Amino acid sequence: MRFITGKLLHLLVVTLAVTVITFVMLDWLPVSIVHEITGRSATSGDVAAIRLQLRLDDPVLLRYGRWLIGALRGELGQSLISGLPVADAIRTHLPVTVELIVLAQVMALGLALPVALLSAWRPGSLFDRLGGTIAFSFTAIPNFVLAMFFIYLFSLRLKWFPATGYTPLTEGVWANLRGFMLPAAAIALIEWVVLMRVLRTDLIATLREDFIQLARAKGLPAWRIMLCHALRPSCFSMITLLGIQVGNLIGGTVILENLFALPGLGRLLIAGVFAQDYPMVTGCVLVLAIGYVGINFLVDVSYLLLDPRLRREGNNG
Amino acid sequence: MGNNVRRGRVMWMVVMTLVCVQAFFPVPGWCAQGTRPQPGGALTVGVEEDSKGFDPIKAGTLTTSARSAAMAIEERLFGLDAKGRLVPELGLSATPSKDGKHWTVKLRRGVVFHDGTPFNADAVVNHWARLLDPQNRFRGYSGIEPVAKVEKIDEFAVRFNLKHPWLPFKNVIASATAIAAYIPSPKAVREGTQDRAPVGTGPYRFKEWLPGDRLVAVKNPAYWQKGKPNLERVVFRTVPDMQTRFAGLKSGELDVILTERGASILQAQEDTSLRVYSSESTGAETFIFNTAKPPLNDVRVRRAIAHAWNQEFYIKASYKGIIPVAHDPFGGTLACGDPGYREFSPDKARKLIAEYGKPVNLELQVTNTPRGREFGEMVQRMLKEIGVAVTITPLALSQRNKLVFAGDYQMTGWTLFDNTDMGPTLYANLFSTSALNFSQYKNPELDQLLTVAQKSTNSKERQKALCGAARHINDQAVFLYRGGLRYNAIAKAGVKGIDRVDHCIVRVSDLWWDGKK
Repeated sequence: MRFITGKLLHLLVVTLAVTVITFVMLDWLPVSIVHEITGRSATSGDVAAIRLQLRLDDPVLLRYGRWLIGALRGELGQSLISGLPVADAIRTHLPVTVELIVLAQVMALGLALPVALLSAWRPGSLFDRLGGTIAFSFTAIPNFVLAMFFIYLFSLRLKWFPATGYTPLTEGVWANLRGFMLPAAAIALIEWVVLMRVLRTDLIATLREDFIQLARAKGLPAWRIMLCHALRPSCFSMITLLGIQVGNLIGGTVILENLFALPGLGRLLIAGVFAQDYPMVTGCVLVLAIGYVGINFLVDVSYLLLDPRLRREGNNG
Repeated sequence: MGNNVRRGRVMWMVVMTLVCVQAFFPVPGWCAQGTRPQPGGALTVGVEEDSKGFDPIKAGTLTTSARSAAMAIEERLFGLDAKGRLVPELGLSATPSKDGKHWTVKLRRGVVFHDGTPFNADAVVNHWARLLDPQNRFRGYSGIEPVAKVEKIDEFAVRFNLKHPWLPFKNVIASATAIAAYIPSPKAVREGTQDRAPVGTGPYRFKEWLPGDRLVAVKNPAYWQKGKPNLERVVFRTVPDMQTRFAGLKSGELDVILTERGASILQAQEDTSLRVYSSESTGAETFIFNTAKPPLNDVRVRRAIAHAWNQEFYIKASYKGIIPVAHDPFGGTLACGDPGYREFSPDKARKLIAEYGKPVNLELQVTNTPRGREFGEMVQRMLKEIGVAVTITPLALSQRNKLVFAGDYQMTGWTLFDNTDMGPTLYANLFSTSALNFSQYKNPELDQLLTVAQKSTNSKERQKALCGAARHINDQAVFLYRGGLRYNAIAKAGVKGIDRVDHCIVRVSDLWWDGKK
């Protein structure tokens, strides 16, 4: 209970700090929300009227306070550009980003786990060395370069997957998944490397433990030793990294979302930044902050589930 | 021999007859394309940016990308044919009074908005009253400023009362690019839903809009033009990246795209599964100067830059030659003869700088985009040749606009947006006391020409004044041209019915699929 309360307090402090800093920094940006709204047809009278309507001449902390009071009531305000409620915009865009991240991490784990297991079972083998070389070469490639290559190969040449566009799940699961394959793969092929290397290292250390020697002595098959005995105590670092990766990806998919025309949170956020649409940006940042801290909270909780030693320590303690 | 000669003469007469018939009675696009319109199917159009909205007061303007959607869902009183003649849509006729200050417009009967509201004089009057109400601060007001009031004559007739005779009036009510020209449903406007869920009388009804992703419209079964539209459904999909848009077309998710990317257009021209459609428009990409501040308040410096600027090279390098060179803002719609364009001549430029006699250091503000930065680098290089030092300042678009509006800039790239009649645009942008006079240029001679163009009811006199304005702009180097406006669409070969894409509009109500989609 104390653990959970502490984490929630941590979430609150981080969220407040991040939103204040974002709000103030946005105010300092050399862009003009008024001219973003008016385009090229504004007279000085129009500019003054819009500034008055949006109360842009109020001090920045006063505007932030106004926003915070609204946010505590569940109202994130309206976009200064489109007039749409920010909460509605986030509600429609966030699931796209979440789906992209989940698929990417599933793919990354799908690659990292078997390669790490096989490499750790025979460290220094040809497979281990080859796997490591291929893995590190992927980390040298930016994900958008990989994405453009995938578009060329899988969309234009082979026509296996679409190059662009998002199909909601309601219009077909396979159509929806097809649209995410390429961007998710572009993320996964870079993220899996770190996960694999960390897991491999921890597995190698675990395989030297006495209980593993006992398992070998008992004649258990290799797959059982790896999956049932070695994997669980070796995966904590990987899970921590997974949590950090997911947190980073929530706001870090903007390039791929633009490239593949996916209407995700990253695109919404960057459009808001360039337009100085501060209700939209602070709303998105709030979601990102909650998401980042929340995911790390879940990572911490998962340790309790995975490691019975921590549960016993907690009970004794 | 005699029979052969007679046969030959008969054949020649038949051929000449057919040629004459074709000239006077051009065959419809579908016939010229060799197929008949077929109902059914769906079309996805890839556009660069999301629409900002469809309520004229809230949105202010139609983005280039939104024009096709607006034309699919809403309608104007009139359209314009390729020769600039009014084509009846919701209006049947537009008759000016003898003094040119009043226009009587007869309206079409039996038309209903998609929400069931009848289209009548009240819809037109309410729409224009809202635009003209100063409390609403309609951002496109400068384009309709000469309209004083619109009043109802009877249920299917209205009268536009102008402050002065205004020949561009008919182009304004028929403009494909001005949000003011499209008549919205009064009910949707009253309920405040017109902006995000537009309701019109057009061939397509609005279905849904996922911001940043797509706008979907479906066939209007009660459309007043029988036999139209052909397509069941149209989707306008937002794909900001030009390369992705082209990739989407080639891989099949998109059926038509609008693009200005030279590499894509050249590639599409060699691809037999694709067709490229181009239309030149009025307007131009420009290069504007703040003529109120030194050294650009000196005409010698501006003329020097005009002679140092190589528009042809810029177009070849930046656009791969796919946009036309511009010497005036009329896109070939006005026969002006020689507009006095200052040719590329570094020698003349150097002489003018030497005559000026002082060092010239300038700041060029560009948008922080690849094209903006490319433009900046080329200007810097060209002006270096004549001894002018240029500092490039990349800025976000809105920040650049803010500085231009405040007169706090020296040089920047700009666009003179296309309009069927460029007179009001030039007046708004160059008349000395206009709030949109970004160049801060004040010249009584140009004011006189623009006033004649704005108020004369004699089309020859107007043309003379507009051409005179174009010559003045070139002579005084008020601004320079960076290329004319040419809009390009690339479509799958099976998409039929595209005969023009002027003003960046894909007229989806005319399209159909040849064969199965």
